[in-house]
Formats: sequence, C-alpha cells, structure tokens
Amino acid sequence: MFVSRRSFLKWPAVMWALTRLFPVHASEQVTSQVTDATLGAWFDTLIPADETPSATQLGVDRMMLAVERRDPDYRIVLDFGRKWLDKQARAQGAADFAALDATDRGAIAARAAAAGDSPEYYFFLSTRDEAFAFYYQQPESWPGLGYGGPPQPLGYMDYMRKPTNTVDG
Amino acid sequence: MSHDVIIIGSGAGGGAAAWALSRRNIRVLVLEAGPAFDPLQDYRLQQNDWELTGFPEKPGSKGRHSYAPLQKLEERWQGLRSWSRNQGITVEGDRRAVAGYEHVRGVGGSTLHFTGEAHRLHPAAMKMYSCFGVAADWPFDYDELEPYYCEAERVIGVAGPAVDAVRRRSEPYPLPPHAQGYASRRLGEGCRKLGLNWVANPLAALSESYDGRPSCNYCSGCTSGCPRLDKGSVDVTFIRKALATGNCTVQSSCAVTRIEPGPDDRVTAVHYLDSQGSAHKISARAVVTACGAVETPRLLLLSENNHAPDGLANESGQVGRHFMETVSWTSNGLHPESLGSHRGLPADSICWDYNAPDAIPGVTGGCRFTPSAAESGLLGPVRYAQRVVPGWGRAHKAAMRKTFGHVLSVGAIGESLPNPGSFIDLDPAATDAAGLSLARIHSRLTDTELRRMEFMAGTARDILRAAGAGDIFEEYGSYDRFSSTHVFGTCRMGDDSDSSVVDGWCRSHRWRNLFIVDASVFPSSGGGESPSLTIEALAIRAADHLAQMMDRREL
Repeated sequence: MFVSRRSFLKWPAVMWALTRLFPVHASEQVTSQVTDATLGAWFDTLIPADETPSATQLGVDRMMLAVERRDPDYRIVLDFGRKWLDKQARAQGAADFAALDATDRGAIAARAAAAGDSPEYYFFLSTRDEAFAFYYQQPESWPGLGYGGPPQPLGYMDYMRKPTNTVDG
Repeated sequence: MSHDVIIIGSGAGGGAAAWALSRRNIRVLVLEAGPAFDPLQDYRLQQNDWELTGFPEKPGSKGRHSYAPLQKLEERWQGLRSWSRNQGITVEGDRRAVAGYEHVRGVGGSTLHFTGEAHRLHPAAMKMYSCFGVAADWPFDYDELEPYYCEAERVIGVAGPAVDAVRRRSEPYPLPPHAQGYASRRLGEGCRKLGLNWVANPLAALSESYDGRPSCNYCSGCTSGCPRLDKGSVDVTFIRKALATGNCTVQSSCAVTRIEPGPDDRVTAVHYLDSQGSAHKISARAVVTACGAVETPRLLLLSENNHAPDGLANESGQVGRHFMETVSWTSNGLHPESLGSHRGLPADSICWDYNAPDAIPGVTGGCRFTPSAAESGLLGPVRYAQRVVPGWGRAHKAAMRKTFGHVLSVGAIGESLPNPGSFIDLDPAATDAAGLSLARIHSRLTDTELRRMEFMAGTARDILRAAGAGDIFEEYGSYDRFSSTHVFGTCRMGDDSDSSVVDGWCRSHRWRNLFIVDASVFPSSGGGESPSLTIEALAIRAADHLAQMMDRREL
C-alpha cells in the first residue's frame, strides 16, 4: 500500500491490492443474479441505524453504485462482493444475503474481516472505507460525535478550551 | 513589456525573489508551470466533503517524476515499519515503497499546502562539515542570513515566541505567538514529564490581523489550502506584494523547457510552453531558477548544448548530487479524554530539544517534534471512521461517538545527510507530455538516518505515553515509504566551484547571469526545520545582490 506522510490513507487503502487480486475473479464473468438489495444489506450491516440513520438511509448504496459505474476496477470489487455474500447466505439456506437477519449478516461480515489476505477481506476493507467516507461526510451522521461540520467558515475559536458536547472514554 | 529578470517558479524562492527585485523597480517576469489557485473558489474547507478532497488538484498542479528502485527493507529496522491497528503492516513486500514527493505546482508553490511553519535554521546546522565532518558547510553563517530572515518574517507576518536561546534575533517576530491548543497542552505535559521543552512554534499564520489579512480562526485545515488568506503562503504575501509594485508579471501554466546557455558564460534565453502548448523564447538580463530540488536540476540537465555539454551549470558534475529528503516519523495514539484535537493550528507547538546537530546521543544530525494530527489527516469523522475506530456495525458507531477528538499525534522530522546513493538524474525512458525526460529520484537512507529515525520514533512514543495517549493505533515513517515534502541539496551552494554549483550569492560559478534560489542550494538540510523561511531569506539576499549587480551594470 502506498501512503504518504501528508495524505495517509487519503484514498481507500486497499484499492491497489484489490486491482492486483481481482482480475482472476473478473475472468469468471460474474453474472450476478442478485439485485442491489445484496449490497444495500451489506452496507447496512457495516453501518446500521441507531440514533443516526443507516447507510442506505443516507444513500451510501446509491453513491457506491455511482462509483461502480464510473470505475471498472470498483465494479470488479463489488461484483465479487455480491457473489461472495450471496454464496455465504445460500450456504446457510437463505435466498441471498439480504434475506438473512442482522445476526447472520454480522457473522458473515466477521468472517470477511478475519479472512486475512483474501479477496473477501479486501472487499470488506474497501467497502468499509468507502462506505464510511460517503456516510460521514453527511450532516445526518454527525449528531453525537462532537463534530459540528466543516472547519470553515467558523473555524474553532474555542481551540484552547476543553471541548463541549463530547463523550470521554 | 520587456523584463529585466525571468524567474522560473513562484514558490518560496521565486516569490520572494520576485518581491525583492520588483520593489527595486526591476521588471520581473515569473513563469510558473502550474496553475493559479483562487482560495475562495478552489479551497474546500467549508464543504461537507472537505476531508476527501484535501488540497485541490487542478490541471498541471502535480509534477511527474520517476523513481529508481528503492532499498530493501531489513529485519533490524522492523520497528520502523509503518503500521496501523486496522490494517497491520501498511507497506507490502520487502522493498521501500514510493509514496511520493508531496508538492504543489502552482502560484505560491508548496507553501499553498504547507502547515505554515516558519523556521530559522539552527546556526550549528550550517557548519555540518567543519564541526561534524558530514555534508558541507554553508558559505556564510547564520548572522549573515539573519537580517533577511527578519525581512521575510515581516512580509509574511510570522507569529512566534519572544525568546529563542539558540537563534539570535535582531528584532522580535512581527506578531505574538499563538496560544497553544487544548490538545497541544496535553502533549506539553507529556514533554515536561520527560524533561523536554514544548514551546510555541513560529508560524506563518496570523495571530492578529496584519497587512490587510485577517487573523487565523484555528480551523486546522492549513494543508487543504487557507480560504481566509491568513496563512502566509507565497501567493498572498510575496507574490501579492510583487504584483502591487507594478513591476512584476506572473504567467501561470507556463512550463519552462530549457534555459539556453550562450557563448560568453551567460544564459541567453528561456524557452517555455504556454497553457495552449505554444512554444515561446524570451530573454532577459538575468535568469533565476526556483523550481525546487527535484525540478531545478532536471531543468539544468535538460538545458545542455554545445556551450554546456554536461548540462547547464554542471561544470563540476554536481548538479543533481547530494539529494536530501524528508526523514520523518509519526505516531498516533488515543487519549482517554476528549481533547477536541481536530481544532487549532496544525503544529502550534514544537520541541527543539534535539534539534542541534549533536543533540541526539550517538547520531549526528538533529530532529524536532510537533503535534501532527492535522498532517496525519485526522481532523474529521471520515478519517476517524476509517483509521481510528476499528470494526463496523453498531459497535463502530458507538465507538465513533466515544472517540472523536481523542487523537493525540506526535510527528518528528530529522536531518537528512547527503550520501552518494541519493541524487536526481534524468530518466532515460520516462518523459513528460513535451517529450522531455522526467526527473528520476534516487533515494537511499543510510544507517545514520535510520538510527536517527529510530530515536525519533522512540521519543514520539515516549511523548505520547507520557501525555496519557499510550494507546497507539498507527505509525508511519519514511523508512519503508519514500515520502518527502521537504527536499534539498541538488545544486549545492559553496565557495569551491569544483564541489558546488552556485556561489554564496546563489549565482552559478560559471554562468554570470544565472541564479538558483530554492532549497536545491542547501549544503545541509538542518535538523528538521521547515525550509520555506530559509529559502525566502536566501532568495531575498540573492535578489539584493542581483539588483546591486544590475545597478553596477555587471549584468
């Protein structure tokens, strides 16, 4: 992974690795029988609703699909992900990933996250980073963070004082 | 309009030279390869997606370079590998990777994205050869440069502390120092526990309104471009003042392709391509190059002809040699208390205790430490979600709410000593759109650099732990990734024409009307000081000398 001192992880860190790994899977000519309900369920697994909206409620899935349309490399990643997620779901007797309950989806996400140097791991990392990027740039995601919005035009004239409205760990 | 002097490049050196010449009624043309940026239109710190865009890119704002194969990584330096809790070791393989030469091509140069550090060199760092037997001595000492530091500080409006026990000052900083931020004070407490000093960092960011510019509002976004104009980048300081004289013209998106050496030890013309790709040839009484330590040697080497068969100003064979890079380390940890560490100035404080060339036990060359959350890009929720908080799902969202603003970061930059394996040459294969060879960067870190970096890493970790942020979740440095913002030394300045490219006035030893005013002339890098103020001081000094020569009709 190539990162710089000034722009460490500016772009999803694993894209480089993904584009090396995925040509093999692209050659399988994935003809996904699933709808984007699979990806929607995946993104809501990564970012479910609680006090703030879920990923799909903020349109993260639509933004990701827009990236997919622009970027052939990312299409390879998402195609692989759809297929892999549904395969895991069918192994559990479900029609597809979207048909699973939250617990089973979470278990599949945990498997991807722990899969080490594998396509499903890079799918997990890449979609995680992208989903967070789309999600946390939207004001609806900010309540409770202690973050009031972009740094300008107001700046932080209180920078010398202990912050307010934050949670100490 | 004809011009007396052509300046190539509008960054710290070119901008300062343009101001210093134009104020003396010398007509100056500045040719800038990159575009002009409009702070109000181009910078995005007020947009919701500001974290993702960083400093904006425009057509032509990034130069292209190539890299010779970098060194193999060794088990003995394993402690210097970049890593993160979320992703493990971040550089794959067993060879040093390329992150890049981080720069901006544009009117104002890399000061457009700098954090605003306005440092004077440690006086002893200018005598590295005579005192320590490494690098080379500067052909003059700190006291010679001091008045020019003052001039540069006045133009910029530098805010700094009243006391500096090491760097003699003939006058105070133009502005008082910025108050240290809440998070920075935590790091200061850690330093004090370790017996280290943590003082206000001299900054090109206004602590009070100055020269028609407003004071800083502490958004911490300097590296993304300052839309308020309070950061003292060259476009809003030197270039603005140069243009106000009426004697300066700046042409952006004009890439110089070569300087033409003539028959009488003078350069006779500058060739450039404008934004439409049309070729131009212009002449002036003097030419000043200020393209930085990667592009200046490239331009000189590309400028060979029968009068300069080895490249312009390369009679000594020294053009491109002695390349020095940014030796850096950053450790990022979490503090249990909410600190609001996304607020303030990026590097409002500094520890100079190890800045002197002999300050680090057993290693020649100094270093310094600053807060680094801003340079690490840890200022908003996107990067926290991606890098700071592990996992996903409800637990991730809950952890985000407990974690945002808790990051403490310590960054260190150290001396980079020249070695034969680090240099710039012309790539024999890779070319730019005009078919000209790219600059090729050769970089090798010696054991001295790595031992210094090991000290920097250990001290950064110690400061974090002492500050209560021992939960370190990521670290990165230039051992396993070439990543340089500060580059130096490829057209060394010196008294001896056999071992240097320019003299003490930054003039070519042979070419009487050719000057170089960027960090390529630095004989040594300093102990981690940011170089822009020294470049500006050097450029003002060289420009004054050039102007005096013109007055005497020596040019």
